[in-house]
Amino acid sequence: MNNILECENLSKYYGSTKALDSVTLNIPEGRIVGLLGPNGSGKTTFIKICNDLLTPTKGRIRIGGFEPGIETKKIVSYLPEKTYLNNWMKVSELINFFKDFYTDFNTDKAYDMLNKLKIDANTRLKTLSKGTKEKVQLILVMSREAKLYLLDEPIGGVDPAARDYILDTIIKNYSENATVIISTHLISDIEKILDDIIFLKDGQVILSKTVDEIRDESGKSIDALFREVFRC
Amino acid sequence: MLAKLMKYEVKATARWFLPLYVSVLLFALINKLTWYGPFMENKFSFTDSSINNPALSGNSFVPVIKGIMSSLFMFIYVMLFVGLFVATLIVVIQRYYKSLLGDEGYLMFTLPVNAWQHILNKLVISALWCLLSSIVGICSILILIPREALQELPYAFARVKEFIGVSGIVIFVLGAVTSLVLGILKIYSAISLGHLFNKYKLLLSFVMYLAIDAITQVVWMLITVFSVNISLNKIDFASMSNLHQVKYVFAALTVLNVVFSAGHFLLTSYLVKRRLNLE
Amino acid sequence: MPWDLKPDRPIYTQLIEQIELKICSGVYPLGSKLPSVRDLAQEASVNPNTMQRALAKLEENGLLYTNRTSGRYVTEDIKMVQKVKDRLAHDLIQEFLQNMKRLGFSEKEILTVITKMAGGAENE
Repeated sequence: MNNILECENLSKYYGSTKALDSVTLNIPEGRIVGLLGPNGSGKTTFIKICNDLLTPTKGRIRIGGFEPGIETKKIVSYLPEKTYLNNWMKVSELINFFKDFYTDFNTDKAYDMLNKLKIDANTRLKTLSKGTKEKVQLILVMSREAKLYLLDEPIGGVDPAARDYILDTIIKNYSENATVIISTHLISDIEKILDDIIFLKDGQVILSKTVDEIRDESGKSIDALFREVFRC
Repeated sequence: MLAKLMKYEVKATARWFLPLYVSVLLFALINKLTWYGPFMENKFSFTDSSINNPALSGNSFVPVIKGIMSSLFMFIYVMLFVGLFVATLIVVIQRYYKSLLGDEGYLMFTLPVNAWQHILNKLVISALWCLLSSIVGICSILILIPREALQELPYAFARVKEFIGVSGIVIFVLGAVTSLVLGILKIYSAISLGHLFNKYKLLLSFVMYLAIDAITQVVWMLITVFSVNISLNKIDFASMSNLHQVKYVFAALTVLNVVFSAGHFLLTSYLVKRRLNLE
Repeated sequence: MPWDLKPDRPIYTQLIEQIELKICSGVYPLGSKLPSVRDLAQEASVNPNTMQRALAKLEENGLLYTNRTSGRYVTEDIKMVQKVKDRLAHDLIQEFLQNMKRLGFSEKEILTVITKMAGGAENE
């Protein structure tokens, strides 16, 4: 099995602050990985580096064999935590936008999901509620047939029913050739669909195991272990 | 890829400009009609002291309205005209500041596109709108000018061509266009530099712009002084006609603009590629 | 029968148990075709990899078999299913006995209670 993501001693310093400190990871294809840690642990920094939105200070990272750049952007699908889409565009225009720039975008899939969620493609983004906007963003990201999906808090601001739908979509979209990395606080909701989890603390990897290994060894859920490890 | 970026850039900006252009031209037309046309007859004029002035005849309700209306139209036109240039500047800044370095940056910089392509995209389309706005502004003035003056124009233009020649016009146009491009790139540099800091980004961007402007002026002065010193040996300024001086200056300006522009482009490309730090 | 997955035990083992339960109780009848891995994973809201591993294990144990062209099926071997049923029953009863003893019941008392309750249920 190939590794979709490999990084070695990856570090990002802001002056004296170490946002990421010598992170070494090998993530194979076909996994659903949870990137877990408290605020400021380096999750977002790591994800931004994967997306070439930040330059590492030290170390190296390769996605699909390439350093973050145009080649990786073709195979990485990113869902940021915030709403980042042009508010004045209609949903259908956004779909065309994604189709224009990403060769792996599956338009049928996108419209299928929109229909299931009863979102009218002819509406402008700015007239939609926050929750609906987030669903649209998720649909756009998941409609790409990417090799690596980076989801930053995908179920954060959404109601429980929508959460189920989102987790459902992630499972349904699963492919052995693709890996999904989910960064989130809502661990108990998401545990069941994860293969592996990575605990990040102060920019360092303090745990990297499969979900079942942890449950087996500790007799606890990931959520419970998290609370223990990161006790305030 | 660049073409696609430009397509969306035009779509995103046209919605602001096209209505504005139409409004400016429309009000130029309206004003032409209300100030010069038949509408103008029997108009209440505050400055007309002739016998025909309706104000004096006491029968002045409709003319008063007409007078007020045409003043209002002129006022609106002037506002739109000023607004045209203010809006153009604001759009140029916003398309870089908000669209590239704001939240939308998350969308833009994850596209499989080079950083310099983004900058070139914004630059080309912004320059295009600046040119279009200028053309629309000039056209609106041409619409307003009375017919008699309008007929003078081709003659005036021919005189200019005679004076500085086709080469002169070409150099002038090149100088103007490169100045425009440099102006936009200076703004982009300033914004990118301001963005390196965590707080007061907008304020620092403004400060950076002033600094860049100042440095540009200093360099321009040094070069002029330096080149004058050198060329005094080769070119006798006393005997050279004004024409050649003007052409020389514009040519030098153009070259300098290109050099500075290249520098700014490289700077912004570097900053945006390696020092990007979106919120 | 909805999937009942507890958070503090490995999902993999729980999936195996749950599927065995469904087979024994007839939710997945003998010889019937199982839904695809993806559909099962969606139903249970779990990772398809984990579901796949669970199904593979069950296949190893002989409860399921794969027909290369048409998918996964429950075995037709009644005796095998009965064995599993017996095992599950045995585990349940063992747990029950342990809990009752913890409550302070003696074995004889346990038998009495059972006869009364189970017999009573039959008479209803």
